[in-house]
Amino acid sequence: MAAGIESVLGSRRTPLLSLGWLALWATLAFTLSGLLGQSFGAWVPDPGVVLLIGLVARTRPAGLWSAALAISAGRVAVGIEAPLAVFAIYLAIAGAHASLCRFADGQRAIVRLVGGALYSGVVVLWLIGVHESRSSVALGLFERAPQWALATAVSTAIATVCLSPLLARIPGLGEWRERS
Amino acid sequence: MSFRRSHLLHLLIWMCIFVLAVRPVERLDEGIEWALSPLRILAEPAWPLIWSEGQSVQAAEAARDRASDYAAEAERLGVELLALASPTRAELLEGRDLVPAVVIGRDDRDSDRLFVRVTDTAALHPGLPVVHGDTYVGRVALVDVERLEVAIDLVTGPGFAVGARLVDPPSSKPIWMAVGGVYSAKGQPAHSVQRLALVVRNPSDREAPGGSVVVGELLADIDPFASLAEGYGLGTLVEYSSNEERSLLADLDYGAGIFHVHILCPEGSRAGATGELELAISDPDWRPTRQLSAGDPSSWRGGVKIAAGASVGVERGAALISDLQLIGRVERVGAWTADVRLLSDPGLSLVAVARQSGDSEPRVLGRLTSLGPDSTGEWIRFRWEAVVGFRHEGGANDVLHARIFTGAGDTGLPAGLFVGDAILSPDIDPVIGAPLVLLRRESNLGSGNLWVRTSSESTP
Repeated sequence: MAAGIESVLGSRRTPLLSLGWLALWATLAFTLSGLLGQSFGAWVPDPGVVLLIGLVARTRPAGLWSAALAISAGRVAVGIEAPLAVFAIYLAIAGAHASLCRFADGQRAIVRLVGGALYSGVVVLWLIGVHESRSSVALGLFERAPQWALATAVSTAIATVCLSPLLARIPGLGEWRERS
Repeated sequence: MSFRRSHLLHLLIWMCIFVLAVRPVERLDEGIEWALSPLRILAEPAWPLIWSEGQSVQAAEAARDRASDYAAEAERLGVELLALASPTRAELLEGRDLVPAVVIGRDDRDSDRLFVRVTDTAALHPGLPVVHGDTYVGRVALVDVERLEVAIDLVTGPGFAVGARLVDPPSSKPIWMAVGGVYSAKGQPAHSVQRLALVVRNPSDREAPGGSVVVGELLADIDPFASLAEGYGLGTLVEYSSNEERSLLADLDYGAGIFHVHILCPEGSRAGATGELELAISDPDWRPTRQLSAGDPSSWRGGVKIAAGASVGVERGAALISDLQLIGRVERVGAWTADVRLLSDPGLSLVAVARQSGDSEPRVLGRLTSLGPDSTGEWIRFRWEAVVGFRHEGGANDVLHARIFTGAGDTGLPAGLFVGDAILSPDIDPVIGAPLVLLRRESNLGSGNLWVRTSSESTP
């Protein structure tokens, strides 16, 4: 049973405390992102992708799945998007990036840059798609979706590369620094 | 082998999550929200970020003054809406007593069943007719004596039938028919804006001309209360066309345009009845709360998490207000938290009434659905679903300035809450294919005076 839980969480080398810290910092980052979004709109980076690609994937790709769960929990704690939609997309990113890391070095800046841009754009499009599909009335969000996705992709790509070395120095995220 | 099996398991789990995200199961969504409610402890440490948004003391005082204005206006609005729902013609009042009622919600499983609150139920029985102004609405289905609530079956119900007759143009031979249920023409677009039509069954003259139809029972002895509804309007019979069934254009927006009604009783049955309908904004079903987030991380969404959930009686659809101004509505409820969609969130919907500048009479707008902020960010665009009964005297492309208030009928959203100042454009917007309401965007979040509607009791 315990082995099963550890398997779902990614690996037995990821302590729950580290995931708790990651979830906490993700929550704060998403709160800040919601606050900044009121002024800067879609130009605010996706903190989930930044943490997942800029921190976890760079230092410990094996922990991507469990980190995706922790980051999703952080977003669900402060956001109003459908929880399943949030879990689905961050787990998908974890899966996609884990596959990518088999062929490319996740520590290289170009991989983080492209990954950050691609994944954050997909997050925006996915959440818009889910919201439209759940609505009984056509909301017309798809018309503006590409420009929102592009803005978020650009800012997230930059943030993923620039903040990546700093993230592991945040208190509580030392687990990721030790292995970097 | 085990490596592959675990990956397959992950993939299957993820695919289930994916499908359920797009095709939600309501019960499962609710269960997940409950299970994730403890995540509130993650959001609590973010309070300094939210607190920094708080308003000044002067702004708080101004908000209190505004709230007092809104309360007075809401009270006046309630009285006026009730007056609008009263029959006007003397012959429709003769021999009848009226029991006023305010609409408090609809049956989640049957949108053709309305719940209303009354001040006394002594004279009420199942079968009594219900009217709005001079128009027939439906019949009393259930009476809950303890909670002073009544369930009403609307004439739009698929199994409903009421006797009717054509009165205009007058004819030498009376033309009788039965009316009930919603008529939908073949090939009708799903989101077209048009007047609701009712099904006409068994007309005594299939080729009768179009005209006004009122309630009239040919076999009045079958229904002991039939005579009470006699003469109340149902709508306009559509002109005869050989290849279509007969239908009736309704005089009311039964979906979102009924806020108050009157139940008709035999004269004298209400002797000694007292009491006035209370305003929902002054009842005790409000609970102070605070926001747990500053906004949704998706910039195109407008929403916050609040620190109140099902444990204190918050339900889906409940109103969130600040200084008596509507801020948003609850979308999902966990045990200790709730997700609130703000007015700017695309897809949020509410029933509304408008008071135009310089106009003493409130106008029923029906259902409005938010399409999010416009490109300037100063206005929130609302799709105006049905312009039934809205008298627009202006010419084409005219816009009207108005103050918007909530109407009654949506569960958890009481009537009379101030929504905001708006511009109404009754002409169909070519982009969205419906008339548009532009609401001035205001942000009352962070004032610290948030109240959420709770349910002390459920509907009958």
